[in-house]
Amino acid sequence: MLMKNGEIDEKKQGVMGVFRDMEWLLHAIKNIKERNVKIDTVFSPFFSHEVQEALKLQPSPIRYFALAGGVLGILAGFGLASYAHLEWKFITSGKPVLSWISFFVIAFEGCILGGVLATVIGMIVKNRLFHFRLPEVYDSRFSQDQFGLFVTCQEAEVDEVSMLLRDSGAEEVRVVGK
Amino acid sequence: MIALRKGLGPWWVVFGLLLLTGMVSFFYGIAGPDRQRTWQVYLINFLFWSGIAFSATVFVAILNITNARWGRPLKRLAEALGAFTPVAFLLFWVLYFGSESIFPWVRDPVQGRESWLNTVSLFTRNGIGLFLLTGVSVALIYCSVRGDLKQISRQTGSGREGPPEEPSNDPFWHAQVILSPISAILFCFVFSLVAFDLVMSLDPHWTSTLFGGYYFIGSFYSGLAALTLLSGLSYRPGGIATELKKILRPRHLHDLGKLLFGFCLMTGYLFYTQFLVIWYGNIPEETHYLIQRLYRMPWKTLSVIILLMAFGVPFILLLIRRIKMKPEALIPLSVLILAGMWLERFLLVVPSLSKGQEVPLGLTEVLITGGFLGAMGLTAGLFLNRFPLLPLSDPLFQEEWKRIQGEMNHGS
Repeated sequence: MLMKNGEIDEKKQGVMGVFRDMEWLLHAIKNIKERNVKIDTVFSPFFSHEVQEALKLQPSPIRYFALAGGVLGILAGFGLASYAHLEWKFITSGKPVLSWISFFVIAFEGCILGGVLATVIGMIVKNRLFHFRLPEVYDSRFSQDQFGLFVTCQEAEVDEVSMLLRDSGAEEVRVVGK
Repeated sequence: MIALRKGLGPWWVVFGLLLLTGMVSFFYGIAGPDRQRTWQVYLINFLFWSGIAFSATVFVAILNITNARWGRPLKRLAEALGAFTPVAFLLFWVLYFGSESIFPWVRDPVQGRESWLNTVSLFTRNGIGLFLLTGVSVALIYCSVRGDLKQISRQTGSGREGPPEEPSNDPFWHAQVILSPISAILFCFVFSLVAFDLVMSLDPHWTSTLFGGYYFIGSFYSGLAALTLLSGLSYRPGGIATELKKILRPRHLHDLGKLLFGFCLMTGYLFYTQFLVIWYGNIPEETHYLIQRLYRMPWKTLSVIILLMAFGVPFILLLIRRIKMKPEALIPLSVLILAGMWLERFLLVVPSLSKGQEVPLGLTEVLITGGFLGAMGLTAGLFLNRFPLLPLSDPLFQEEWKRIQGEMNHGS
């Protein structure tokens, strides 16, 4: 799970802190935010609302994909039902040809189908899948039981940021991209 | 553990006056020429407010059944609404005196259905059902409150402070775990029975098997709206239980909003399921009930308004995340839902009884509804005044409390 402010640039320079505990990670994010240093990426083995809140990230835009897909699905459902009824003159049990009450069922199914498909597409697009190369700073431990906090900074700040990370409880601090 | 104080302040007077005017207009109504109209308003209000009270208790039961942590800070608020359940049980018996005005089959017995539709048998079966449901609800609330009082007296006790009891040994928690599923199942059965007997029998030739389910889900929806209103009000200065806002996080309202949205959909869905089947089957015995309400004036306009108030507007607005997290938005929205569900109960009852060309919505309706609101407000207020605002002894609340404290420390 990557949670990032910016794009991952393979040639970025900065400091990577490795954390064992979520509490410490949140603590570090707070400290770094206070110093106005830019957090590039947070690596976590699982999704966490706390980290998202601490980073003050915008909520995921995927929900707009789902909404748009759902609305389009409703329209498509009504469209399909109306078209089929008009084209082949479906008259069932004496009801009008365009009987909206029963079309709701098809519109509802269309809503689900459209919403689901749009969500999957949105996820693929926004996550920029499919990556075939992992970010340079990635460590396999971030997919197991550790958290990573990658901070970009100028060379002059490296020592200060490293200290800050270590003070905030990082198990391991490593300078990247020099 | 923090102890919270809460006050009703000027609300005592407001609720007291509402109750008083409601009672006066009720007695004035049943003594005067508008006897039938007064009784039907009484019935609507009994259905609406007992629905809120019992479903608030079921909300607590559902929290217990699902081992939910998120809703624990709201548990006492739900129980405050549930404190109305014994009152609702008493109010049910008042209907007995109005059965001649309310039930059309008292004067014209329905051939072949006399053994089910007669006053004695109706009040016996509903009385037993409501007695059991009230008993279980009160026992559930009692166990929850009793455990807290015990814990508080232990904390402030005179010297003989023992170690806090393990959750597995706490008899009150154990009793809640057992009572919760019973209360939820009983609620569904008893409220289906109430729907069949007190609402469907008003039009004795109309039957719908799903009506019971639709009715209790609708009741639960209005119960959730009432709980949302109460939680939202705790953020307002001068509101009830204002101290609660110190510990409620935005996610609590968000989760409550999501649940409200879910039951908005569920209620709309059950209405549609019934409507579609009756529309498709097109059998005159079934359709007359819907045609009268949805296609004939004066009820047609009202049914569209109800559809918007109880389903359309809340559905669209509750899609928006920010609205679910803002008490300023949730308060008017839950009032809208409650008003919509009250009118929905009105639409279920009145067209079966009133043969006039106008919708009987006037001062009588407002005053008697106000009386019930006063009674609900007083019981909930008394309950909140008497007991701690947080379910301190609830082991799942203690877990949630740790999480809340953690969040406060991180300043998120």
